Amino acid sequence: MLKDLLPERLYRLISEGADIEKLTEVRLRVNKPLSVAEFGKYFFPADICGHKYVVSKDDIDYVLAIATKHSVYAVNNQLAGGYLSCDDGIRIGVSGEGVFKNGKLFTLKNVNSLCIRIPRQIFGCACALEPLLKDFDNTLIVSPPGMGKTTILREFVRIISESGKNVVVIDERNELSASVNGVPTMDMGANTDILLFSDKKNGYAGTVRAMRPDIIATDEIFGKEEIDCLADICRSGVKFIATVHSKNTVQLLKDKVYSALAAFTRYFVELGELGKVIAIIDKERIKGC
Amino acid sequence: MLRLLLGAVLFVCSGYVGYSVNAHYRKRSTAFIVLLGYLDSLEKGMSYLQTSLGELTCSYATDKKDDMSEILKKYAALLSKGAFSKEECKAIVKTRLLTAFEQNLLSEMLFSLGKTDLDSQLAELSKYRAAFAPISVNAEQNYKKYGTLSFKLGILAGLAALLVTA
Repeated sequence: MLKDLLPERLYRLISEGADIEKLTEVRLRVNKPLSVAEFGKYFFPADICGHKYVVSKDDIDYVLAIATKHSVYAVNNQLAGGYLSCDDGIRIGVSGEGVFKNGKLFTLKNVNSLCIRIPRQIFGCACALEPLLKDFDNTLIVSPPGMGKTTILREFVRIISESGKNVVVIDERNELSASVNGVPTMDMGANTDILLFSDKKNGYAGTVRAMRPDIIATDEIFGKEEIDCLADICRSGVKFIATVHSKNTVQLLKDKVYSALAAFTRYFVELGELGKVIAIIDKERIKGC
Repeated sequence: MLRLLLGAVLFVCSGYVGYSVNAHYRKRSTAFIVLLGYLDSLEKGMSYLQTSLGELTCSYATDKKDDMSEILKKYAALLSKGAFSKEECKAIVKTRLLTAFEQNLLSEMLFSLGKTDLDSQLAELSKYRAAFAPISVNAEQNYKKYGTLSFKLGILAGLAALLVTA
């Protein structure tokens, strides 16, 4: 998919200078050198003479045309949210000039930079979380951006699902399942149902009523409304596993809005670099102490 | 015998010219009917399932063999290629069936598709429908009027030539 997404000369340059299989990020900024990351390590691909490739507006427009499939009408909500979901789970972060309508961000124009993030399935990367399966309860994976939360969540969902529990994944941005035409390309386990491109609020309500899940999994909890949705899930007797952006659990729970998560979350999993689990905090145990 | 043969040749030629003129009007009329059908399918596909432009265009044009469908197939190929310019869009609509004004309008429409949000897109489709609908009506009337007439005239002129030479 990355090959289809990028202009040929860009893809050739990247594939000559980097291992495509290890690529996790490609950044395009107008009039700045092309930047790529292999598992979090950034570098600037250069030609044989050592010249770095300077990204043009045309390169960005090309990627946007492919990513939107020339159909902005179908993805304008995503664009207003600052991202685009592509096939194979590739997510493109978009920044440019905001266009407002009735006081709300309506869309983006004059896009000047793109952050293309390539999902990777790493089997076994969540084995540190397997002990949580015995007495599974509401779990939050906490880390700053780019630490591998989504990869860990995907693998943990697969493990939970293979253990026989019904898992519903609310895959708002198609990052977890990397589906193409509704069919997941990532292994999400035998007992997993995936709801794609639905916002969390509607996704939760619909799936709790109709899909009879044991666990609901979702990525990137953001803001009070989504926290309230999680509270609703707990009230209905369904467990959840989710990810949230924060430096660590202490910082997360200091926040006025996010401190509400402590009321119904049992396990807080903290990640270090490259998705390494550095701490699992069990709220019940802390209480016990 | 030679005169009869000459008459027959003139009859065939004259009939063929009449048929060609008729075919031109028929193809023109069909082209606009197909184009309006395409606009219909876009409106439905965009507003309900929000299917991508490429898929909508392919599914509409794939099984059709008329000239407008050929243009739409070329357009679908452009869409699958990535970013494309106004000039490329102009190049695919070049056909003898359409006037320069119609070609411009069509290429402008194809180039503008898929570049805005749903509401603006639907409003734009209505604008183009309003522009193409009278052209389509006119093309159909011309086909009925001049297309049939030219075919009949071609046959008649051929027959006259046959009689004169015979």
